[in-house]
Amino acid sequence: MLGYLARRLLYVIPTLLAISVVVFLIINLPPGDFATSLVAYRRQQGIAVGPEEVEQIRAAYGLDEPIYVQYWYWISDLLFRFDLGVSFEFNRPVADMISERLPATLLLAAAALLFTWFFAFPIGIYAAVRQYSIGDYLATTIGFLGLATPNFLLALILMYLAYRWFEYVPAGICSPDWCDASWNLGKLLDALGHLWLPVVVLGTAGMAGLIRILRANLLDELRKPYVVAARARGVPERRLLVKYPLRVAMNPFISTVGWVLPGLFAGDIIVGQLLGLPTIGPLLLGALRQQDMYLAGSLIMVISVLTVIGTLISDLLLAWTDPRVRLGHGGSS
Amino acid sequence: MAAIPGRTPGGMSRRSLLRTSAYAALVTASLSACDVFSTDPEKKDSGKAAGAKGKEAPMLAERVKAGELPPVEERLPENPLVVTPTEQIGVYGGTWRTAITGTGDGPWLHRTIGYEPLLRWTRDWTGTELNLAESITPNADASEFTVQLRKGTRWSDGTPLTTADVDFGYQHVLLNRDLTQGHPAALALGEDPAELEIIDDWSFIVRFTGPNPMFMTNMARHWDGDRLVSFPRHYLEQFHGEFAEDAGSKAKAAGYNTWQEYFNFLGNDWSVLWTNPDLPSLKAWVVIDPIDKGTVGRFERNPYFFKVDPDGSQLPYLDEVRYDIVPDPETMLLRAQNGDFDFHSRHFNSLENKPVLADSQEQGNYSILDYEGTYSTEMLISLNLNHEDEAVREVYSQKDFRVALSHAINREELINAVWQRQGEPHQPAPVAESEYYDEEFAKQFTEYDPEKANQILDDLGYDQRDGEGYRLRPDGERISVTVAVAEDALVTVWVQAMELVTGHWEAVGIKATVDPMPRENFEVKLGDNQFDASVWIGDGGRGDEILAPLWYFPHSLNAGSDYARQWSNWYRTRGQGPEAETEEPPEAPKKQMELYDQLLTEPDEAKRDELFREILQISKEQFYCIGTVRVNSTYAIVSNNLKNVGGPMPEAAAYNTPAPATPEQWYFEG
Repeated sequence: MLGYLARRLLYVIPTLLAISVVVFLIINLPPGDFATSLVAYRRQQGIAVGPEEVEQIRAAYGLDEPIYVQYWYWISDLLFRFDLGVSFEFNRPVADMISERLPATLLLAAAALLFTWFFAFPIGIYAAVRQYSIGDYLATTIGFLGLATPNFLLALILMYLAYRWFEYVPAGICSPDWCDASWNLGKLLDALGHLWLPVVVLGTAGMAGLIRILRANLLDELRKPYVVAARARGVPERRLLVKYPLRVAMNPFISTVGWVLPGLFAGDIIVGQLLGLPTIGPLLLGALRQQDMYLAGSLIMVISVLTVIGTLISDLLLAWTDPRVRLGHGGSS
Repeated sequence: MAAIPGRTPGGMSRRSLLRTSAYAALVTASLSACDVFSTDPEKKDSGKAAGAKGKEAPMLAERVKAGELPPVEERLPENPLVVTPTEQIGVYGGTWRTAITGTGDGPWLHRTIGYEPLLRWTRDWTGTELNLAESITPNADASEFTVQLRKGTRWSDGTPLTTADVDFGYQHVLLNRDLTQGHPAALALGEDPAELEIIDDWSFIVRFTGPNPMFMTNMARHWDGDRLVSFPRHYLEQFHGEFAEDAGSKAKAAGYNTWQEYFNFLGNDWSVLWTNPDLPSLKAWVVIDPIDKGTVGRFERNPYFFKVDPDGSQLPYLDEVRYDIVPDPETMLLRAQNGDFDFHSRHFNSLENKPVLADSQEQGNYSILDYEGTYSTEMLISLNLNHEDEAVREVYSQKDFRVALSHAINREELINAVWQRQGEPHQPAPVAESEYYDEEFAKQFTEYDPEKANQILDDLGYDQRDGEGYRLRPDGERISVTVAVAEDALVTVWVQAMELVTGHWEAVGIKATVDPMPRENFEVKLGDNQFDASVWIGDGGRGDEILAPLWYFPHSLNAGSDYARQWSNWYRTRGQGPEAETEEPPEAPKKQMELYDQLLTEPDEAKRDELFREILQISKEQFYCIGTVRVNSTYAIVSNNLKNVGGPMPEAAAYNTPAPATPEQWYFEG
């Protein structure tokens, strides 16, 4: 087990290096660079920018150097000094910008995740145990609707309904009157009045998939002879369900649970943008659009590191929960 | 709240209910403002006091009483600027709620609370009036300008504004090439930077190498006119390497490599006024909650602001301005409908949204205020007269070819299908409200006449057609036009409108395609001269005719006139630029450039006018680019409680809408 862990950790290094190269290349792929997007932006505001100035901007940000030199600047700072660089657009250290937005991001993502699990597990189990019942069809329909409706559309619809019926727009995390007020019950209520929207939108998106996977796996398990045998021996239904088939049916869930980690970090890009949330997702979107190289690159690197770590955690969890995986390592199959 | 002890199930008696309520009331009262169970936003009292308003805002009077501020007389300059209210004298208090899409939306801040140049535009945009300067006096040939600041004007931290600040800003920031890349054009004549001479604490001379009559106009332009008075020396010199030995280590400690980077971050950047709360400012409201952190930017009244109303009461009337950060325009629209903004005219104020906004006026308690369009045309089509391919260039360069394409456009259809049945056909020419209006120029070649277009194209020798019916050049190649369109730029309907226009062109046998792209790509494509044609908006229709002449002759404004970027580059570099990017223009544009150079140094206004008319005459003959439709397309939404905004005003970047409507004298009623 320890050898396995060490090997896995070793693999992480080349993986991340390869990711960093790809990330850097892809960010640089679109025509133009930060200087052009700055010029385009200023031109739109009717501000003149001369070519000399553009050259100076390029020189100042090192954009006139060959791409591998730019890459080296970035990756060496990252590796040797844990320095994520300075954002071109904001002129501020990327690490500061991330840490500012981290609490809200984590809070929101965690709430959405709990929302998903809280509803998806019972519904998935119910849909499997009572297959083809009205409840199953209902859950399936709603689940597919949730899966098929783009998040931003769902958010827009809910916002519009709130505006029509409750006369407020639940964008952002607080309403103007409350944003600068100190914390009290009213502010908490106001915050809840805003937070339900991203939680519901982000939550429903993940729900459908989880319901379907759980249902399908559980259905497979429920038909297996060991279940029939256990039932014949009079094991109570509830215990019968939870003790064995559910554990096995959880495998696909556990093997992807690690991906929650990057999702927590930047899972709300479009919805965050739409609702104007102070989270990391919209920051990444803006950075990519502006070709703010260090901000975008560093954010994606953080996400990649989290993905790699998440996968590792999943694998370890799987080995821990499922004896078959552990034994499989022993060399039987 | 509190549980009632000893209640048995079966409901609450009337007496106990009364007791409970009394108890609850008591608890609420005793906890008062810091009650964690309160459901009221606990905010500073904005003091919308009726009755005599006094010489200063109640919130400042309180601070004076507490000894935190000197009395209002000591905070105002000796000769404060008296602002005449648009409608009536207002009262203090209230918060102006508006929104931005993010830190990139700085122009809206500049337009709303950032406009305090030496001079300023009059509300009707026919001239300039004094602002921070008490006077600006040119010498006889307009090469030297004596500027007198208002004695006793103070920065928002109470330090007086003097020529020491001007001197520091000019000599050590604007002329320092490590800090300021590219000298501000308004403070130079051609390539020669202006010379600054300090006379005393409140007056200085700006001297140019020759006559520069445009200086006065430039000093009313936003950003140009502010540059000399935007660097508070007493604060900034602690971060300037020439003044503070520890500037480098301060920068390092803050995470910057050089003091220059840190200095620019703190005080010499497009957005410092919204991101650095420590930076002293001269604006009506100063930042207390920066826009680059969190979801809102907040600005509070500047206790040292230099303007008063006719009663001698210090402005601004409004206590606060707040910008909610709303990155998505659809969300912004919904919030506007809900009445979340008191004054706003950005991102959602398009023609297609107008009926939606009109519909919710009652629920949102706002009204729509129409802007006066200043653009000559909402969609201006430039054929690339500097096309890389010689043969293509020859086709595009023929005036008659452009005339034919103009006649081929069905502008009525555009008006009906794209611009909500509003607007009129218009070429890129001064509009009716402009003093340079020439109806013939504005309307030439705008009538829809495909037969005439066909006739002209036939006469040009493009009468041969290929199998698909498209016209051929004499060398047998098909004539085609691919129009580059920035899909996310100023006008959102360009792609839709251009689809119709290409249809009209195909109808007369010209192969035409629309090529929509993000505006960054658009910029790169035009910069590299890799395009047939492009679309932009017609600047210079009214008010900014002389300042933004790029559609009248190849001028270097923005990145150059799109129909002839290389000629524009030639003009900017005086023919000295790299060969790949410049090209010597033909006689007509060259003549216009000479006239414009003359205009820029002509002290006599009547003569300048004449010169400009001559330039326009040549553009009318040359017909460089094709206009489509002129529309009054934008508007603002204004809360019904917000007063003194006044009626329609021009909309233009150069006018800095709505700043000349002086938001410092807006106020809330009731």
